[in-house]
Amino acid sequence: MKLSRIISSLVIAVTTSGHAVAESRYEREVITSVDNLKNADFRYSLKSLEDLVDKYPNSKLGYLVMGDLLAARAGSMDLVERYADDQLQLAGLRDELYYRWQTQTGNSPAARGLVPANLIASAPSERYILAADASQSRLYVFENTGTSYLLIKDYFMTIGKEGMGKNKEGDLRTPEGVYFVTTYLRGEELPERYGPGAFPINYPNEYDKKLNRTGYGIWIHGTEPENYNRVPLASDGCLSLSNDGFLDIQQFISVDGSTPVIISSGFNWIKPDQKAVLSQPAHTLLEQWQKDWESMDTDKFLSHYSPSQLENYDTFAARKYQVNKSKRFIEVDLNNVSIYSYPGNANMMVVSFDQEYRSNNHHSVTQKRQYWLRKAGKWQIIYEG
Amino acid sequence: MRFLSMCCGVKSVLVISVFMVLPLVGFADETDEIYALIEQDRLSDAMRQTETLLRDAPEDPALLFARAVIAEKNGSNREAVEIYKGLTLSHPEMLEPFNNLAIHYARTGDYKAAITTLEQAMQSNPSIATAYRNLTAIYAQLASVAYRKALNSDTPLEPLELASLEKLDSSTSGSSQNPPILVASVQNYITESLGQNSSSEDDQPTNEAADRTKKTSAADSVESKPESETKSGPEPEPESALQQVQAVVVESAPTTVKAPDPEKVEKAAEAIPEPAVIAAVTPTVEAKQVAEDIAAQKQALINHIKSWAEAWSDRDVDRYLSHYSERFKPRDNLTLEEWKKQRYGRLRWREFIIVKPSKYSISIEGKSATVDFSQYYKSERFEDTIRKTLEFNKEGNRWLITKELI
Repeated sequence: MKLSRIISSLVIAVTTSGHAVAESRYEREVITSVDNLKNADFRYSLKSLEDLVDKYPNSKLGYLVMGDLLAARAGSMDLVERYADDQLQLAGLRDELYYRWQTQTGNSPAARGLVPANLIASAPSERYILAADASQSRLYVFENTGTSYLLIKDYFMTIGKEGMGKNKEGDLRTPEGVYFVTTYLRGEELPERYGPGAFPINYPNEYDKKLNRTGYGIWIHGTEPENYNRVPLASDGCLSLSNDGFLDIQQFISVDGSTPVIISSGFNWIKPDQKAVLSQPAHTLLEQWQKDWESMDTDKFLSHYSPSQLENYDTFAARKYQVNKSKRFIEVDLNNVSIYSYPGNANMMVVSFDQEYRSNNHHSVTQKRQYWLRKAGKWQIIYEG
Repeated sequence: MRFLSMCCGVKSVLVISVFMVLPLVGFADETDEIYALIEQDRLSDAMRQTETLLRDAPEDPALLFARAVIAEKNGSNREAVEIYKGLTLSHPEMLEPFNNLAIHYARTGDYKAAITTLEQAMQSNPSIATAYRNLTAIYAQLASVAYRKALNSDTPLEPLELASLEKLDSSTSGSSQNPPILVASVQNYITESLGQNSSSEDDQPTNEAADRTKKTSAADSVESKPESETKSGPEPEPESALQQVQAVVVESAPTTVKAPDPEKVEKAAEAIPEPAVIAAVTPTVEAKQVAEDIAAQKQALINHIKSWAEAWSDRDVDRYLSHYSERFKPRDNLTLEEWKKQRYGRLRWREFIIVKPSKYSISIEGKSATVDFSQYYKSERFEDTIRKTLEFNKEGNRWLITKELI
């Protein structure tokens, strides 16, 4: 495991830009210095921690481990309590170390070659998918290879002070769901605490709005200069990376809506070869919807929509009946299909595609997004736009 | 021996490196021969030689020690332990028996006994004990600096106070002027002891002061520093915590034994066996300092009682009450507030009060003390002499009364 980790690090080092090395190197150096506490003598351990904080003077974690080492040497392990004015910061640093340790020692599911079950299909335009796993404080970048997903990079990540499950404005929580990056904000235009820049995502999305969730301004951003990164729970709901991490992840993000950001309290990680089996029903569902539309059987087509959940269902249905009367044929082609099952709700999927519609009297190309909900075993569309 | 406990799922690791320490004490010729035999693994010859020599000098510590070493090599651990134990009692100034005894305890899993024994080893040599305590204090200080940075703490650093040794451990006497020692800065310590480069020409502690520290600071005797380095290293941040540590004046005047940090003192008091015991075996500078310190504490207690009696005599209730701890437990199940009110009444109503303490008997244990004394009391209504006991607690620099018994 260790060797493969080293090799993959080398691959990363040669295939990506300079910042990549900085973030992963930082983590590796932190974990190595911790590892030294077990394997090396006191002097060497201290030296390596000295080097670490020398190189990264804003590494709170480096200072904490150094403090622990010295306190152990001084025989006063509880000395830390005197300076723990902020218990959350202390606990946060310990958690951060735990999470980073898990990743560096190859214990994360991604390092074992697993992928989140939520990634069912991605459009070719969606070259990279960001998958944030709060249970590991980790933001993963997967490359969409067309047939599968390849782990490209991962970063230590901070979420909201109050954790996951954003519901209303100011609750300091991070939303769980399927989102897309909407734009980019330059660091020079932002307060210092956001670091070198920010990528806002589309919270609240259509589903959030349906649930009357409030709040706005959920971003992926960097860190204030005093800290190399923040502790795991330390934002107002945003995903915060180290500045090195942020500068590196930029290369994988597009602001034209083609970068999905799937945020989960904890993914269900599966083997890539299980993926086809799991995603087949979703594809079948979408094909059926397409066929039923082309069949011009309005009742059949409408059976895919939830009368209770879809807004203005009656108007929508009436219009479909009206329109279909004039049709002699309908052809629907779906391109750039992406399907993501919703984190935290196994009975929901977000489906996006480019729809080319042709009929005897109409031709159009539309970008569509649908939210499918399964109720009593039946999948129905609850939002379409 | 390294003992590190780690956070976050990293298991504690205990590694015991066994260094059998051979004695450095005299009897070179005879013991050399024995050790030569031991080295050649001729244990029975070595034993025979040792037994022969012991017949002439049955109490010779070097020979006894050699015998223990041989016994251990022969697998007679119990015998070795008995000899080591005997040597720690008869020759507490020898580090080696303590060390090897501690190894034995550690091997059998009794880490507590091992630790106690090693601490006794250091205590048996007060200079080493002091140097070790200073080293520990510096590590604690460095840990504090690191923690403050890690946790953005506003909690101020405790001043770093180190005990200096003014006299050599032998009976060599020399005049001691007790100059205040400028601790050359922890930054210096970090850069030098860890071999980092110091580059900038800072006007931190003067070379002279730093030099003086090198010569007198006890920490220095443990840490080897490059002699050429007297400048302090560059400061990464102007308001760095390290800077706060710099230029701390360490008092080297009589009370050198006092450690700065109350917590540390408590711990040291727990961990290190009563210094007086050691002092009885080896009356040394350190023991004298302990004695001086205790004398100073006793005087402070007596002064406190005198001042308490004066305030009482002056019927100055506030001043009188200021001699009591907030943890004072009044008699008769009164709350502290009720009792204070009662004292206001009792003191103020008197025309005059005379209180005279005398014949003190004092015992101090760490941060608590008990003083038994004779109290003469006279007012317009009443006069007597009783035996009174006051219990004290040291809070900050002051002894305060926690209990009053008649």
